[in-house]
Amino acid sequence: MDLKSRLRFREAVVDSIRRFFKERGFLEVEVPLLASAPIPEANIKLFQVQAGKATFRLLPSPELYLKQLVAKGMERVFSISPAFRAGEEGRLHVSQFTMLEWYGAGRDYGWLMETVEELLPWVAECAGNAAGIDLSPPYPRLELRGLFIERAGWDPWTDEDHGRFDMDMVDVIEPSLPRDRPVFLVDFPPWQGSLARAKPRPAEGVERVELYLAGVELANGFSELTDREEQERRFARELAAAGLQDQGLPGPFLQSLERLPECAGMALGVDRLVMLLGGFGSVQETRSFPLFQ
Amino acid sequence: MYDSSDLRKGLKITIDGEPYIITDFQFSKPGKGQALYRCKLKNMITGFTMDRTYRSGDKFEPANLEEVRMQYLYKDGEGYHFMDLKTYEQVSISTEQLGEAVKFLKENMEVDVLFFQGNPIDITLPNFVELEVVESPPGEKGNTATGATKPATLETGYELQVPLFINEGDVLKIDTRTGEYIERVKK
Repeated sequence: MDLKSRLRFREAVVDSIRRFFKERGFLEVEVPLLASAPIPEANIKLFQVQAGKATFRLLPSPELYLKQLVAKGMERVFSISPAFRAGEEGRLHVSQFTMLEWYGAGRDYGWLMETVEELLPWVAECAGNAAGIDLSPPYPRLELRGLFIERAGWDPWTDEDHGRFDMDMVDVIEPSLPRDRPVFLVDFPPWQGSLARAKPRPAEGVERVELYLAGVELANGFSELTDREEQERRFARELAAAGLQDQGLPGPFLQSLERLPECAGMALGVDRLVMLLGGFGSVQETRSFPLFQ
Repeated sequence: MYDSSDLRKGLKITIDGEPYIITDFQFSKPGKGQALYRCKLKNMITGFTMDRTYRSGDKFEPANLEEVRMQYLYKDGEGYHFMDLKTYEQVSISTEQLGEAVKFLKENMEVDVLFFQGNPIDITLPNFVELEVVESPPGEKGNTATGATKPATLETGYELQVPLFINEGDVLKIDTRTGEYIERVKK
């Protein structure tokens, strides 16, 4: 497919996503791309921008801004926003990518999964599904703990080993997932999801869900943590672990948690969705320009 | 030294003292986890392939390989002997290490010998070689269908299928990458 046809296909996917959420009463918003204190995450490298004496970071995810809007009374919001992560380049990664993120007040991660089950068939119907992936719902919900015990032979719920967890996700769990249809991995270990709400029994982990399509991680969402003190503790721990103390805590976001209702939100990689539905070989093929020339 | 962010297809690195080439490469980042670099690696001495996943911060020794133009001299119990045409220095490589390449090696042929840490480990043949037919019984009578072939043995001992009009003593052009007959060069 030539560049123009690929960009037409991408446009159709983005248009259909926008229509899907607007028809359901969501408010589309734009958030700042220059952030002063983004989410403290050890594994995300940020681009820094110097403006006089001020230091900004290019936004790695719109999550903190969107949740502040939910706290301000916007019960259903979404954005289709650029996101920036330094050093992430590969078939499935590009340092500037496009992220769809949506939130619903009074909802939990079960609602996120139901939304995905309506969204994917809709996008395929509007834009096309050249790859012919079966998107008919419902999608299997696989409990991650059972998969780890059965396939990787250990239990990350009782053994907090970050390095081994990541390695086994990539080498054991991901290759074993069905490729012919979407699948949800549900419930993550207690220490995997710094912004996710714990399950009713906290030892069972956090209410986090990951969507896989054709073996590719496509979306990540949680029932959101709304406890300010707990969030502040988790952020401080993450900053210390990553040696990022000078980055500072995102104050306005933490304050907004005091008014944040129960809610759930999900982030979906738009470039990857375009790639999978269009049958393209990489996320780079879905974009108008290569990032580094 | 290389680090994980240098990894890419075609890069040659040393693992446990042996040279490997990366034949397939994938950047990966599970969930909100750390960056991982998944590689398929081929051992350049044994041809053995393996999968390895590396983390950011891992370090790698480059594999320093050198190619030298040499002439194939002869074979004996020790292996195959080659000579550098500039320095007249000689090296030998075992039959096992050369693998399939021995089917096309003819005395005085010039090849590129690959060295790792001063030791010869492999050769690169020319894409095409010319070899003489030493045995090829006439094709069966009546078998005149287009594309019909018969077996032939070349001077190196290599056996392949050739067209029916080929006779003993003909010289054939052979593609060393596929092992296939290309054309007759000389009757």
